[in-house]
Amino acid sequence: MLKYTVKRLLFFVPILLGVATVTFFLIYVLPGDPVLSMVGERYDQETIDQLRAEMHLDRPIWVQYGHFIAALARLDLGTSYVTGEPVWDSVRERFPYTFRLALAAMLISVLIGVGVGVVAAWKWRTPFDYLAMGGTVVGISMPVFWLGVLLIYFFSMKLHVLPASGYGDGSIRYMVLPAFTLAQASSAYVARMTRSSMLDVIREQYIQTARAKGVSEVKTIFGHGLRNALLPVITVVGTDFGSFLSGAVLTESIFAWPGLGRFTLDAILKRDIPAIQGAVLFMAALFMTVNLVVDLAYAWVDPRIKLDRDEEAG
Amino acid sequence: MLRRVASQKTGLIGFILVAIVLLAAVAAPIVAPYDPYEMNMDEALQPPSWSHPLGTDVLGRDMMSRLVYGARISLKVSVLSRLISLLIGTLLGLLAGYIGGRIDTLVMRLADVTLAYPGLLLLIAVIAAVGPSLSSLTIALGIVGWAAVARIVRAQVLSIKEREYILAIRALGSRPESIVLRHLLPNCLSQMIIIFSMGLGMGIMAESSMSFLGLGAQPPAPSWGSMISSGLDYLRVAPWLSLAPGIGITIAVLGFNLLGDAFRDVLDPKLRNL
Amino acid sequence: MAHGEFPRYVAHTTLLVLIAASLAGCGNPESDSRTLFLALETPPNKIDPALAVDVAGGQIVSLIYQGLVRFSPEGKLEPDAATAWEIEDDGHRYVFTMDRQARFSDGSAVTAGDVVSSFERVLAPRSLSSRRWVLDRIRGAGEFSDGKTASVAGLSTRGDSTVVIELAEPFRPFIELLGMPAARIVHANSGPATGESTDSIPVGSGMWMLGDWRRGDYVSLVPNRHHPEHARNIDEIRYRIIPQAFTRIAEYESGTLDILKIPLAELDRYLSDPANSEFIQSRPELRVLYIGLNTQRGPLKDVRVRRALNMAVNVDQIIEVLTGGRGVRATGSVPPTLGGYEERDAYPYDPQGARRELSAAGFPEGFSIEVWQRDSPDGNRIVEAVQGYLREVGVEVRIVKREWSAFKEAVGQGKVDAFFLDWYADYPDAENFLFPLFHSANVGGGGNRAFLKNADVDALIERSHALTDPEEAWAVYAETDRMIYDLAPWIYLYFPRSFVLVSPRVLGYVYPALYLGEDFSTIQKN
Repeated sequence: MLKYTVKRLLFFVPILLGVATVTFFLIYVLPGDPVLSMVGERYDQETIDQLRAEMHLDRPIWVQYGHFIAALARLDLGTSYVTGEPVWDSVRERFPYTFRLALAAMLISVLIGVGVGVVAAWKWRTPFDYLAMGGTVVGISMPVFWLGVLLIYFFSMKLHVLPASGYGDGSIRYMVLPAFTLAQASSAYVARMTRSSMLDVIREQYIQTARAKGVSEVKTIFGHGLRNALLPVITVVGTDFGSFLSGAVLTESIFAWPGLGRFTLDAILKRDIPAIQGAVLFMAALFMTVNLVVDLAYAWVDPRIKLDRDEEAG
Repeated sequence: MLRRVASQKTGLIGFILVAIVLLAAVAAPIVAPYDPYEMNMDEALQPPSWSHPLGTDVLGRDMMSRLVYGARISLKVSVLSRLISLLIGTLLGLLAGYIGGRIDTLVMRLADVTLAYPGLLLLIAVIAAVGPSLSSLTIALGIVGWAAVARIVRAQVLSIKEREYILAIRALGSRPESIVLRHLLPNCLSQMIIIFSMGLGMGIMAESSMSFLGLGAQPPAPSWGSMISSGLDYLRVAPWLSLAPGIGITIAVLGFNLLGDAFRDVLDPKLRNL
Repeated sequence: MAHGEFPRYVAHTTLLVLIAASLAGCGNPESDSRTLFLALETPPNKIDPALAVDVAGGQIVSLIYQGLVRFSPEGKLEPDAATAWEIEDDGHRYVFTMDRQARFSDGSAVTAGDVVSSFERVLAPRSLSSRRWVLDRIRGAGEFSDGKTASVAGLSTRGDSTVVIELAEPFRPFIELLGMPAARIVHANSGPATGESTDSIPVGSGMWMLGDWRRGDYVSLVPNRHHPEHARNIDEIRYRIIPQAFTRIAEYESGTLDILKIPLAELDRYLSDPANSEFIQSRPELRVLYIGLNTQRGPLKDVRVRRALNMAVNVDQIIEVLTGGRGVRATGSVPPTLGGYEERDAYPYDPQGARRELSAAGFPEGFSIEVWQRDSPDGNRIVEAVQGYLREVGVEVRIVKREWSAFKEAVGQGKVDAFFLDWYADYPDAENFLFPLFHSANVGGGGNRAFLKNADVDALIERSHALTDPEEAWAVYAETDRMIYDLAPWIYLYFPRSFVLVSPRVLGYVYPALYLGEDFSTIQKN
């Protein structure tokens, strides 16, 4: 167990470095001159040269790469070309919004997913089961941005019951639509996962025993079945955090949510290189960390899984 | 095999949905009532009617025709990008699994790095770098998807390569290429079919998401994703502009997901629930 | 297996409950009646007068900072931090008398010295301002920017309340330049305009001051209580950043937005709805939309080809369908509301004629070009329509979308055949269209992205600069514009008209002619 943990932790840093390198070189080939995004109309060549020198843009690429990695080690993600703010500050300022949205989405997908999954397992092979499973498969197949548009159309434009966009005063009303949009695919997955692991558990011996002892069905399902079925569900929720991060790019752009996803998209639209690099790196690092924690927790709880994954990770 | 796929109820539904999308794509010139590119601004923003079953867009182009041709774009991007993923992933997966050692470590670490980016993010970064177009989106999608394929192929190779019969063939002095081509690759085939078919839905989703963000298909190409985004401004006055392409995407993705599930169940029941 | 898992299960449940509670617990009621909610399509990058270049930034700068002069909502020049001015020596010298009542938001008086230091801040050698050109007609500005002199020769004060500005050459629109964001007055102790820190936004003396700025979410302004005319009926202007048009509509209709710039798509619906139509205000914009043609590239070198392209596009129909007929067809670059505009015959819509012209120019089979644009819903529709029309005459258009800096670089360096752009007036004068867009001194990045190099055009524009009599200048402008229209460096599209819907709750709002002309001082909300 300890060996596995240490091994995973040791791999973390080189992979992060790899991600940083890939991100740097990817963005290095972006067309257009970043300096031009800093100056407006009627600029002169002198200002441009001066700026380019200040940003080390006149140096060879490997020198720039060195600067980039060295700064990264100090948690310095550079300064935005567009706003002049340190990128790390912007990321820190924006991330809590995305985090809240992701938390809310996670909460929704657990509540809906587990609820639907349990009932579907309980009512196995009844119309409810079929309907629920049909619904989840459609849910997974529906584009997240389209669902967002539909929700705004019905709840904000037609019914006027929920705000269409923004963070507002931070109240829960503003979070409902974006969080549901973000949670859509994940809650469908959780429902399917809960249902199938519930079915596995229900078939197991001790539930049969419990039933034989005359414990009521509902109590059996919720007391024994759910508890044991929750483990795989937690994994799904944990790994879905990544899909929340990339889903946030789409969701936040539709709902004008001031989080990291919107920030990334804005940075790309304005070709703000340090901001793109910083945001992409931050999200990748976060994604990796969450995956690591989930994997470790999972391995810790259920050693059988660890072996499988360990083998695969080589 | 197809019969077994179709004998499952969900598989059958998936099969039908995919058939519809395929038919639309292949027979687009016959099925589509109009030229999807022909504008006629005198007939802009017509609501659905007999002559325009899904209405017209702001430039007076027939939405039904654009929707049908949109299936072509989605399928083309999705299938080609999956093929690219499959090609790169299989090649590197075979190499890593068969040769092992440093090559294995290198390939797998590269895969780790690729998989460290959450979903669309790497794709967005790549497209931002090379500029948006359908071909760059296809290639980027293909490249981004290699890692998952490589992992699975490698695991499969590892599990087969130590089997008695392979060891025996090796001892007989068979050349590595022929072992890989005649024994390892065929053993990975069912895995590859599963990966391919399950990935098609994801590919369609990715294409439409990127086109929605303006990072995929360029005008006047009738991509479903860009049709939704250009219809947004008219959501109130002409909701069909955004609604219809969304239904198109859902049907296509749903079809491929169901079909992929069915393939998986038939070919490799072990993988269920993964 | 079931052993030991129960506590974790409890822990998870507790966590979820806590999350739910924290999500629910953060709502607080806000008092809507004293906050004015407005929308911005894109967030401002910077709101330092020296550094702001985008429309959103300029709009906010003009509320926070006073200029010597400013523009009224009607677009007329009026006193701001200066109460009066004299133009002396045939337009060489401007003498401003400062308003003794003017106060910065920290309570200190606005002096002539602040004006000089503000201008020098923009012109300083290390300044990152891309708007030096606003002030570089002042005598000695160039030497100062190059670091050769310690002060600008043409800038001086007489006591605390008189500013004297001398120009190198007379320049009639100069007084209007002084209303621009870059010429606004900041407190003399403001840091240099090097863009290094956005936390230290300079102190201004406008009616509003920066309250709170949450990037990507909103910019909030509060009244500058030291300004004699500061708003008394509202406590805050909150600019919310809402990129999607359909969300802005939804927000307006749910009452969370007070003023809505109506998207073209919804115009007919709102105008025909009697409940809304009386609350709609509209203005012709000081803006022109066009497809720029690089006059130095390939087939576009030939004026016959450029004229043919103008004949191939049915601009009237584009206006009719995409704007509901609410744009004015451009037959020149000078908008109808400015002096120098004249009516003239447009290129006729004549695809056959266009084909004949193309054949005569040696392109009977047509050719293909790239049209670059930035991604925007309105722009996308226009460019796609143009693409469709040009295909009819055999010109294949490949649309290339790039973000602004990549666009600006490629177009500015002449690497692009054609491009879709719009030009906003910085100040209400035809000079602001003709000189930057068509004078050969501004070829490329300066604004003349069509790379028009025509000695006659240059000479006419230069002659207009020194004319002090407006009527005389206008006649020259009209002549210049006519000459350029014949050269067809653009596919001329239209001058848009814009419409805002003002919530019935809001009283006293006047939709300004120029984006710099917003004035919320007398606004009231019920």
